Amino acid sequence: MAYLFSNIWRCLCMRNRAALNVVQTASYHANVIDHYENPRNVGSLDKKDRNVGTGLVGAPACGDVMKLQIKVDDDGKIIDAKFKTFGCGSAIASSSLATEWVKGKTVDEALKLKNTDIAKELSLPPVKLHCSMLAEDAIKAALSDYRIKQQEADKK
Amino acid sequence: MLRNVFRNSRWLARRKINSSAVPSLQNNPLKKTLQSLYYYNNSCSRLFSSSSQESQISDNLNPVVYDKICTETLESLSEYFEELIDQSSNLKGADVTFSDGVLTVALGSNYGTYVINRQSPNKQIWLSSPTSGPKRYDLILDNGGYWLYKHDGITLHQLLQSELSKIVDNADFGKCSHSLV
Repeated sequence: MAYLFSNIWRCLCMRNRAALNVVQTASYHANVIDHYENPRNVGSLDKKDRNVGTGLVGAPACGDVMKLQIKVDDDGKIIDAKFKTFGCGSAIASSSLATEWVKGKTVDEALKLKNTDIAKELSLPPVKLHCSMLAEDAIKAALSDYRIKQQEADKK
Repeated sequence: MLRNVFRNSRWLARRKINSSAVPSLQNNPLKKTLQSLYYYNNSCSRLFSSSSQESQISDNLNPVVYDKICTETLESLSEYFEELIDQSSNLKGADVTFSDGVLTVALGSNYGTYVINRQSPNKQIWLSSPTSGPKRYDLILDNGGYWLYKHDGITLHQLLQSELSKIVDNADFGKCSHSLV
């Protein structure tokens, strides 16, 4: 009975009214903020180099443009990757994470990288899942550009 | 029956709009340069897929036609989702919001959130599904206009039908406008 009274009192008490309000906030995941504040692999490589593949995806009108470049050695392993992204925090984090993951992989392994892995690692909300897909597209575009360059070089 | 009459008359009107829009676009030389610029943009955004056919479909698309069909699609989906939520007992806390061309369907923490939005620069509808991830649908102008994901050939309403059928019993997205299930 006393328990009941104290609970009712707590509910009615002015002091506690603020505590009863639950404010819902949405914020970037810690991983996304980390990539935004400490970006890794920002920059560019020489696009004329025959070991460098460049992928440029997106359009300014859509709000996101990603340029991702990879440098591949003669064994087919990706030794360096750089990116430059124009877009939201999630897009920057997705492309930054993509360059981190792709380093040290072979060209075939890098093709297996999926947008779902990027989205899970960064805990992207539903509306930002498209950023992770754009990052996957950027990697595939860079790899395909590298392949095309290699085929042209082989023909000569 | 009335709805069918309206649908058919809308379809006939749309045919007229399409047949009058396409030749005007093709004859204008300024439009042609704009189209080639747009093609460049399109091919940049999807470098590894066959872009020539895609860009032909999207370039010949009058933005007014796209806007109208997109708005109709999203409004119809918004109404249908609200109906579904009212009918279903397992979606009691669910919420549908539609504003500025963005339709958000929050089905609760068990089922996730669907976000379907207009993407005018690409003339697409973008979908984000909690189970199958993000997809981008292009407008195909046959059969009154429907939305197709070119990479697997599945339409927007087919995907929603298959995913929502696992959550509710009587989902029928064929009732929505511009659907091809």
